[in-house]
Amino acid sequence: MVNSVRNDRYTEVILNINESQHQVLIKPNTLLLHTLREQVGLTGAKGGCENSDCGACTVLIDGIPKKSCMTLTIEVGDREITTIEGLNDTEIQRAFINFNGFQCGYCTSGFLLNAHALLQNKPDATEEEKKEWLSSNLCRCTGYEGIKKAVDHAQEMIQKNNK
Amino acid sequence: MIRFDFNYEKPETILKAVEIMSDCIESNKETIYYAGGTELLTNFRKGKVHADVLIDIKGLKPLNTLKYEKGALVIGAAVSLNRIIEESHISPLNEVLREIADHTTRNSLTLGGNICGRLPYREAVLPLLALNATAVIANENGINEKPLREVFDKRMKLRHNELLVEIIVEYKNQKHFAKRITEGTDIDYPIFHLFATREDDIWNIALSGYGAFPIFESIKISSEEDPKSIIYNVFKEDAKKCSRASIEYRQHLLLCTLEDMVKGGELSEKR
Repeated sequence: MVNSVRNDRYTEVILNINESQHQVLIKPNTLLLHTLREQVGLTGAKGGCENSDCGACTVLIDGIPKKSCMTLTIEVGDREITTIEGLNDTEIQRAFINFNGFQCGYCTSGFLLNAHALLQNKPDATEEEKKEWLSSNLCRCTGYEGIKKAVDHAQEMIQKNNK
Repeated sequence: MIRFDFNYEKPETILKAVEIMSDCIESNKETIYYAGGTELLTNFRKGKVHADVLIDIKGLKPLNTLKYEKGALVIGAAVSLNRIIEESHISPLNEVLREIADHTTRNSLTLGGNICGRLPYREAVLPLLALNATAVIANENGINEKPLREVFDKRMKLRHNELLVEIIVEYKNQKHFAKRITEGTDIDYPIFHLFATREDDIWNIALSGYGAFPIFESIKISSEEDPKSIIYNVFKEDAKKCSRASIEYRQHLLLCTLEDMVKGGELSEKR
């Protein structure tokens, strides 16, 4: 954890990303999105609006979806970060493939992480809850129908596996 | 990206946070308390706000409190809106919080940040004013409690080094009425947001998006009087004009909403 950093100095921060540790050199004003993409080389999180509107930059921090374009790297040094690269053959990923959950793919990593967190936290999420969570992500291809089908199917499979 | 550099401080006690802020003010450094960061980082990126120092208050234990104490809900200023929605049981408060921003952003948005921020909407304050909540504020002299209605007037009236620590809300199942209208999509700033409670002859009305800043009035209306016209006349001239809605349209929304509130809503019952 970092307690005090001067503006003109790069400081070393150890980030816990996808259960691995990564050493990065950053200034306090460095956004997490840019650190992930430019220093760590994890380009799954995308810069869409970079204004906290579109959700393409979504990552999980301690399992909770957050927009990395609106998060300073320096404040997450002691947290567990999950990017799309950290999801491996999950129900939601399989469902997105099988139910046409993506077209151009730009919004997909954000949607996958948000949906994954939703179904991990609330496997019995209602339609209203699913809509509430996933309204945080925009798809310019308007592929929402495929996304919805994928999320619904993934939920069924997770509920089945939980029984 | 953020095009200017700033110092980052993460104090471990409230006293230290206030001390750092006071020292920075004395040294003429532009210093801001930093919690969720959604509003600040957007404004930094756009060049609308500048800071020399950020004081990250998320590590301060009392600001992360969410608990019931002596029948009242105590909410730390750094608690996220989603955490309040999920863990507390004050439905009128949760109804309003749930409409602010989107779900993922609400994982970062904090109660204190929404109330003390620069954006003119500050919607989380509406039910808190109507429910007569208490603000717990820290400064160099210690920590004090004050009625929120005394320290909020258009915005939180805090001295530069003062820090909002907690909000305390006592909810006695008061009936309430709320209506929020946006220009287009649900996830948007409001062009009209009314929140009201009623205690016998006292109508507590809070508005956001209607005027240039949140407005609150506690109005005494006897059972013989027409609440709709009285309340309308109190707020009529506060309507603002902007690219999203005209003065006349906002006044029209106010009138229609008051009609709903008085005739068919939870507050319509005669006392």
